[in-house]
Amino acid sequence: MDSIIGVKYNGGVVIAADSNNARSILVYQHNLDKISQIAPNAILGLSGPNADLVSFSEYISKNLKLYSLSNPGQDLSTKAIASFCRNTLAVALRKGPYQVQTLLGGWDVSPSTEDGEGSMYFLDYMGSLQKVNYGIQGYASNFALSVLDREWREGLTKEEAIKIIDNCINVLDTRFLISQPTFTIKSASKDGVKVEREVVAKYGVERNN
Amino acid sequence: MARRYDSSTTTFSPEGRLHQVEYAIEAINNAGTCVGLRCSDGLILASERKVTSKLLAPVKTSEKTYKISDECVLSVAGLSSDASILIGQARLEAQRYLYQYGEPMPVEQIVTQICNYKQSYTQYGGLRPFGCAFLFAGYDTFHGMQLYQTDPSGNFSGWQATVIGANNSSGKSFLKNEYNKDDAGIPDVKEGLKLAVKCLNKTMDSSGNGPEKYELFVMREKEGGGVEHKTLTKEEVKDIIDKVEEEGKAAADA
Repeated sequence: MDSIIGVKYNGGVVIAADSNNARSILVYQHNLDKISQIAPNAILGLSGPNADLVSFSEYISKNLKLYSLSNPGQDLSTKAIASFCRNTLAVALRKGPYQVQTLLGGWDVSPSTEDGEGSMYFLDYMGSLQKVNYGIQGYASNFALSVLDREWREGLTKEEAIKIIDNCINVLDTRFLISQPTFTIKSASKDGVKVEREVVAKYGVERNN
Repeated sequence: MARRYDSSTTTFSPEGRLHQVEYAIEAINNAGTCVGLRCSDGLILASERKVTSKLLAPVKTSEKTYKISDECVLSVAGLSSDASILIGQARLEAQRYLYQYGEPMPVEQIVTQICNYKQSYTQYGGLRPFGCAFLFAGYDTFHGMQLYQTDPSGNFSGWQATVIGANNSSGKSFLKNEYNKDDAGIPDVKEGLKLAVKCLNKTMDSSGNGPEKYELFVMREKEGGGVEHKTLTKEEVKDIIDKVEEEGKAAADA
């Protein structure tokens, strides 16, 4: 039921997630942050049961922290983080799978130049890994993927990327049965991870009476 | 008195020393010599082949230089049987890392892992330390081309140029003088190979050795990523030996 939307732009990646925490027909809370910062330059947007989101993102971020403490100055690239996530999911699949569908966004300093590059990866719970420029996890993909297909292009600015995400959210508001009143948005770029839109709780809808 | 502390690797002598470990290090100082050189356009590992018997079948590829991964190579001084256990371990670790992270293992991490393994044999009871030292040559995106030296105690260090094995101290002092002489900059591979052969000539017992006594290996960065490994052929080695001899004669004449 969760919606995770990710867009790569020139200089980084933005990921948006609805802030509902729900199970079956019940919404538990409206201000859940489903985008976790797992490394200094990497964010993970997760969709799935709350327990799995928490345990998976903690497992990944704590392992990355351990790695950076054991190997100072050799931080893992986004590709390596993606590969590690994939492996974790693939190993768990035959034991107790993490029911998580994720989008991983990160920014890497390129060793040859002073500059860097953003990259994004699409991961499902079975451990399939895809490098993408834009992606959506959840039912939202049925509605909004066409918006991204039409509007994404090379060389977007961050503002343009967020505008595209807002267009996706508009489509969801119009056509998606499930109410997702608020979204959080985070970016990963050379400035690290930034919260572009805070988690806010919004209860109920405005009626016309 | 010291004898009492010789047999066990895990017991300190009253002077605070681990004799077995020191003996292992000493054993390597009698082994075939290996030279490592960082060059402006690559890395060189040069080793001395000990030809023990004329009847022994000549090795087809190499007996001292082993590929660990696509971007890491090591050469061995000491017991090659002990070394092959560690080489197997290093290859396994490097591939495990590649499997886990989809990227090659940084060189220092391979070295650290192997040295941790070596160290454990100086601490846990009933085992003897590995009787071998390594020169690791490797490439990663963090520090580029790198050269490391390890010993049986589990110590390791990074170098621009170094020597392990027999007469390593005379080899090292030779390199101290000749490598980056007068701050003229570090040599390129072409110059480095000659320097490595000269260095081996200093450390080897007999002079005027044939090309079968040398094993020369070069690692270079490939254009567009990756690393090129090259073990020089007998003819190429002979070529370098001849050049070194010529230069030696010319210097003597001058």
